[in-house]
Amino acid sequence: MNKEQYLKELKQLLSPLTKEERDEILYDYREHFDNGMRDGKTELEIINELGLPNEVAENMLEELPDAEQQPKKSNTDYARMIVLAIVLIFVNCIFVLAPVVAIIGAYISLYSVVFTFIFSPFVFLYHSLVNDVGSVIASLFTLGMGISAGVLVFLALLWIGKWIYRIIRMYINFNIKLVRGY
Amino acid sequence: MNTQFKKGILELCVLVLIYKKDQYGYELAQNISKNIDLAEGSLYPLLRRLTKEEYCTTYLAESKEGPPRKYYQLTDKGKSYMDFLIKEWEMFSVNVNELIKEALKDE
Repeated sequence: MNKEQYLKELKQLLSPLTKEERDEILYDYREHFDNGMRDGKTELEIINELGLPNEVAENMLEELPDAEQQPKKSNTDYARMIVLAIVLIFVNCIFVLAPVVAIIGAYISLYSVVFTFIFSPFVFLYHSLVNDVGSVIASLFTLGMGISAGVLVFLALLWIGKWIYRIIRMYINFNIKLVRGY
Repeated sequence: MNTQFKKGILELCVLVLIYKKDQYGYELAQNISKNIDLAEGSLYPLLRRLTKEEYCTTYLAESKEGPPRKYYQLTDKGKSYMDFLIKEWEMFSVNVNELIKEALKDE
């Protein structure tokens, strides 16, 4: 385990607390790590001194009065979550799904452009070499152009793909947060 | 050792140490573990409770190396609570020593 894993585990174990409370606690432990490392200790040594995250969290939840903990979800909350989930599924199926699928389809089909750019000049080259149609120099030139254009478009597509992926993930997370209610 | 018992002792130690001078969490942990074997992680829950109960306050102060540190300072309320705990502790340890002495006397 390292510092970040330790803090992450602690954060999860402290989920019954409010966000502000949790952030403050994590800040204290982060500071402890920083001070310890400036003192020449390794992350592992500091963790051994601190004790396991679940012990710390248990201790913390014991010490804090109940008022600080987030109220448990009631049945009406669950009903609200279920209704919201159903509404979201409908909205997503009707309005979101089709455009997203279309965009992804268009995106994938753009890879055929890359393929064309890179491989069609070979046809020229083949014809000029074997059938003696057109000049070899011109077809080599086209080959160079084609490959560079293909690589450029390919890189652009990778970049766009990364953003499409991010946006879709953000949207999914947004939906999850909406249903959970925080 | 019984954890509940240890917690009480730890509370007293923390109060005495920050009475001597304001300290930040890591410093406190080092000073306590010099004398007492403890899981340093259990110090922060205690410090939060002491702050909540207004036995101490916190403030941030710049450090020469790195980010500011959170210092803990004893309040007047904390001081009288400390005095109370010290009296209790002294009485307790006198009584326990007495008990041990009497029990072993007849051996």
